[in-house]
Amino acid sequence: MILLKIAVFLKQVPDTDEVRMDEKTGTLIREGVGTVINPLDQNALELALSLRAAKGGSVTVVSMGPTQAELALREALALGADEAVLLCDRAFAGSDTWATARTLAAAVRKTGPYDLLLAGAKATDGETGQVGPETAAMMGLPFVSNVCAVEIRAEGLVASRSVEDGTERTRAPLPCLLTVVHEINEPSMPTLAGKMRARRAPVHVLSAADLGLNPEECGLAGSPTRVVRIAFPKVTRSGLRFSGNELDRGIALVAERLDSMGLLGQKRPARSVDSARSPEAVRPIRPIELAWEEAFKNDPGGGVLVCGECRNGSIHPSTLELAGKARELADSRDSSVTVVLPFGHLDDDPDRCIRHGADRVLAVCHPALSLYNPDVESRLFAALIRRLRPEIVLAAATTSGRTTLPAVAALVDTGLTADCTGLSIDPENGDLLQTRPAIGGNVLATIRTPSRRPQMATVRPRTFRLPPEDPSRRGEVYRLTPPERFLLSPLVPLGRETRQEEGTPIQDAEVVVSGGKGLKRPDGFRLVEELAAVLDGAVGASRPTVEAKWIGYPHQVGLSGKVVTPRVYIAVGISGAIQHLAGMQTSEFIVAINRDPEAGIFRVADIGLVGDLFDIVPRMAGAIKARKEAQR
Amino acid sequence: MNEPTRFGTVTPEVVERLSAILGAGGVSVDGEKIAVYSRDEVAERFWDRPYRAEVLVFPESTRHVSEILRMANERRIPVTPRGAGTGLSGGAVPAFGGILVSFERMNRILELDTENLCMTVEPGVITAEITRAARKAGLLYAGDPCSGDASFIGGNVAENAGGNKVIKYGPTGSSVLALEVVLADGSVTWFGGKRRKDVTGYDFVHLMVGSEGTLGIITKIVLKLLPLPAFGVDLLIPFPTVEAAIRFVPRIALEGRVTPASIELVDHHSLSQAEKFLNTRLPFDQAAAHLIVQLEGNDREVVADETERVGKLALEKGALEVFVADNRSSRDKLWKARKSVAEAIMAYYQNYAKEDLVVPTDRVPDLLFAVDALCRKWRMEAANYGHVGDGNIHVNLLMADDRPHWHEDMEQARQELYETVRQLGGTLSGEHGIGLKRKAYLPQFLDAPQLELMRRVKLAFDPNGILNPGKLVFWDKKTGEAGA
Ligand SMILES: Cc1cc2nc3c(=O)[nH]c(=O)nc-3n(C[C@H](O)[C@H](O)[C@H](O)COP(=O)(O)OP(=O)(O)OC[C@H]3O[C@@H](n4cnc5c(N)ncnc54)[C@H](O)[C@@H]3O)c2cc1C
Ligand SMILES: Cc1cc2nc3c(=O)[nH]c(=O)nc-3n(C[C@H](O)[C@H](O)[C@H](O)COP(=O)(O)OP(=O)(O)OC[C@H]3O[C@@H](n4cnc5c(N)ncnc54)[C@H](O)[C@@H]3O)c2cc1C
Repeated sequence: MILLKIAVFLKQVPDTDEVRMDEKTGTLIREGVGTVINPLDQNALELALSLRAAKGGSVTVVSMGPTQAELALREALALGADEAVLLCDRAFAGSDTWATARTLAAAVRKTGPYDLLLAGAKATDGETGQVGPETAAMMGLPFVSNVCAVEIRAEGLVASRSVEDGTERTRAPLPCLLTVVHEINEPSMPTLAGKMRARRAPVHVLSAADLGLNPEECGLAGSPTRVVRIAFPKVTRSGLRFSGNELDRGIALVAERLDSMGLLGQKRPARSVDSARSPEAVRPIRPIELAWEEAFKNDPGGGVLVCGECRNGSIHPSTLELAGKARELADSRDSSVTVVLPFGHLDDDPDRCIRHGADRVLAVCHPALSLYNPDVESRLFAALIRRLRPEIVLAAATTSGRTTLPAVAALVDTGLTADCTGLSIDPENGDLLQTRPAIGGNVLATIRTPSRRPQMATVRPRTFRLPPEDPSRRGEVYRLTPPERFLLSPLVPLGRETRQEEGTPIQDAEVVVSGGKGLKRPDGFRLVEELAAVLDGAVGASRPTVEAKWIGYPHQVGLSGKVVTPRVYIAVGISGAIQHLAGMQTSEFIVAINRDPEAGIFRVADIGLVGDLFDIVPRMAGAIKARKEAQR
Repeated sequence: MNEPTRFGTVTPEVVERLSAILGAGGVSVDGEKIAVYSRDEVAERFWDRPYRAEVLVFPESTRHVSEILRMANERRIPVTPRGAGTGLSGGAVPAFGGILVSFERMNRILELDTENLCMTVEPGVITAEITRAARKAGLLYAGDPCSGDASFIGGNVAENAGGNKVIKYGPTGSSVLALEVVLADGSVTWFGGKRRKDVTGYDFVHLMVGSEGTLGIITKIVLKLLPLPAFGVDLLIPFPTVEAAIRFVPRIALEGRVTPASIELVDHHSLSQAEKFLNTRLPFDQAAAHLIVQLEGNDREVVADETERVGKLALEKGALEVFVADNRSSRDKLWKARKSVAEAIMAYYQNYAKEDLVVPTDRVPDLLFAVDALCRKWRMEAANYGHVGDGNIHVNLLMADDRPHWHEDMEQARQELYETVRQLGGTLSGEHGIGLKRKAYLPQFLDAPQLELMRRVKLAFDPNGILNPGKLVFWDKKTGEAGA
């Protein structure tokens, strides 16, 4: 029997369902708002308890927070945790992810050693997902993020992590850190006996001094990032209506809007492979081979560095989007853009990064890089950052970007802002202003990294439009082979499995096209499916169509179905009953197609098309296709 | 159902008059749209035929409603009020055609009066919005039907909806202080007021409550509010038998010395439907029954003490385990399961009878034994759940999809069940109402003098019988229904 000593990080978060903002001061109103244990941390705790049940050992829960966080810890004790540690000190107030990770790492050192550290993949308030990886990197521990299944083996463990299009399996030694997603298990409910025990059990409280931390290193003082502004995005619906011979204009407007949201650009990497191969697209660029140890030894520093991503032999579109955005930022600072592309093999043309805005591309290539390994990747990026000393580092907020970059930030000792939707340069001091949604999209926070460099951010894919290629742009492509020492890693990627294409689950889709009773017949859904296919979106449905078995229950949107918040929701032949609205009204952009001008759905729509869906939907699909073609 | 005999019909001229009152956007004769609004949550295939209104209207004010009624009364055109259509008795189904009045545009909260602890609302406000608005002010609106995220407060009042907090706070009617009502001839009056006591005249407020739209149309409602308890906890208690679960219920008050806010029962069959529907699992889901017991209070420690007392008592009385949910995520999970039982059953069964029986609380075990026996006799299943704390059990009789003559069999099984209920001192409906669905069974539960009294009350309010005809009351001696 292996005895596992496990620590679980637990965060008490405000109940997002009740979150309210003080519009004047821009702060969260916490009074009267309930708190809950961050839901994914409950999954982490559940995992810990089940591992303990199977393998023996102990479970310690650790939370940094105000005294009230004791409640969350007691709940964990009630569920069966053996020990609870509360990190509570005035000095901790205002911590960003970096300072939090530092405090947690100190607590682990103080109360450990542990065989396994567990955390939720992200918290519902900050939604950064950075604390886990940052803590691991600071402690020099291997980690696996977004874990959806674990097997403990004699030598360490095998974790499956869920990624955009499937799962990846990784072998990791113990000790290590895992962050988990909700698919991993179903958290249990405490029993009376557990509650009674927890009510009377001690909670150990540790202060900064207990952890040997200097107050300067903690809390706000020790945080590299600063929130400079909070804004409240108000969902204002433009509420434009089109009918009769105005419909064409309305349809064109929809296509235009989808385009400006970046939803009509290239999505499937496969397409870029084609263009890379087509002879006229390829310019003979000979990469300049550089020896790793010598490369960029005397680089002047500065500029924007993009940590690129390659998948299945092609450059991920988000990398090109970032090259474009980086260009903009670099131009306003009179500096340059470097894109780093790590890959095992590449069928794509690195020069595309240059045509989209980069000045140079560093193709870091080694067969060992074909499978994603956050440990190797983060050390590679960190080494290059140390050498190139960029002002700004950007990466896509994909699952891998959001896993690697926190570790990079920890290694190079700087702040990181997660999942930004806006980036600009402050004209006053040249700092990067990083804007990101938080608390379930209820606020938009603008963040700065005033005193440390580089300034790092991950950026939500498709936030910035893919700029058109500029064939006249010139730059250099370098090819680097990392030395073996970088490739030695305690983590061993075992392979990846792509999910069978049965359509994206509606909760995860960026575009949802939903059909209602107005489709008249079961095969009416074909129309909806076609439109969804043009937009790479998922298919949703109203309850009566599910009841009539035109489509399965997993597609139902609404009160008794799924709640979705896609970027675009297109409601086809749906009346807009309150129970349906409850499932979709927070979508970013809503289009409604209905022949009844009084239909409730129009009240929440940005663009309403009043008319026969059997006429409008094919026209709309056509218009969107045409616009997509024109893009290429 | 009898054909309408002497009701007026909706002519183009009537539609024009309605458009003049409401504006063109407030009137619809679109057949498809009318069809959608002409039903509630009773599946249409349970009716002998589809019922359709002739015209659908969307009033925005009391004046609109009053003018509609004045005209309808002159022409003897039936008027059926409709809330959110979540009803389970066909109450909002326009049994005699005519005008269907949807309240979805009368959906404003008019006043939150914290000094008098009350809220004035229009009938189209969604129940959950009232709860939320009250909560924001630190107050409690105690009405809590499981359909509260969807139903309208007007529908709740008209049905005297019950729900999950009846044992402590009573059904919807207990929270109603006053009603603005448009009478059949279009005149407008207020029953009650922002007063906690009132013996000036008959208690028309509580006659209107539960009158299912047959006596008048409610256009404003003053609701009573209470201080919001600061802490709540839900105990989820699995039991090895349904009987053990039910026998435990009275012990909570007697030995535990607390009045819970709710005591709900979900039997094994009901729970498995909900689990399948939500794709989730609750602990001990193999147990024969689960109770949900909700405790609340203003002192965390006091609530924790009560939790321990009730929990230990449950274990003494044979509970398999006691789970304690005191934070939103676990409480939500538990209530979501409870609240989706009704929908889950409708999703997985075609041939069901959804009963809303209520018996004296100590007779609930007898009722469920009888249901068991009935299931064996008729080769069917049952899913039982509901507000067991107040003796109100939703017995769902379920027959296989491919059973021939299921309708006839079900009818007979139901008759036998009703006979048992009557013998146990129970009655036909605790909270879902009589409506169109249960009216034929009413004489089994109410005697002739009472039926006659109901008829006279109906005719006193609505001499022409235009208000929601076909529901709740037999008011025409000759035809048993319509025609003055
Ligand atoms: C407790 C409860 C829970 C519920 N949960 C949900 C839920 O989770 N999700 C949900 O969706 N519903 C739910 N409902 C049901 C909800 O109340 C509505 O009945 C349902 O949303 C209506 O679906 P619909 O819009 O497809 O159909 P309808 O209301 O019938 O609307 C069809 C629409 O199609 C339009 N139309 C018809 N033909 C055409 C045409 N040729 N061209 C253009 N438009 C056309 C019509 O104008 C109409 O507006 C719930 C109800 C209850 C009581
Ligand atoms: C999933 C589910 C769970 C449910 N749970 C419960 C529960 O826990 N407890 C409970 O009691 N019920 C429950 N119900 C039944 C139903 O939700 C209630 O009866 C509710 O009160 C009906 O409200 P409504 O707005 O949908 O009314 P509708 O169904 O639209 O109408 C109901 C009746 O009210 C009349 N009416 C509506 N508005 C007015 C008005 N302004 N003036 C006069 N008459 C009017 C109508 O004519 C009709 O007779 C449930 C139903 C579902 C589908």
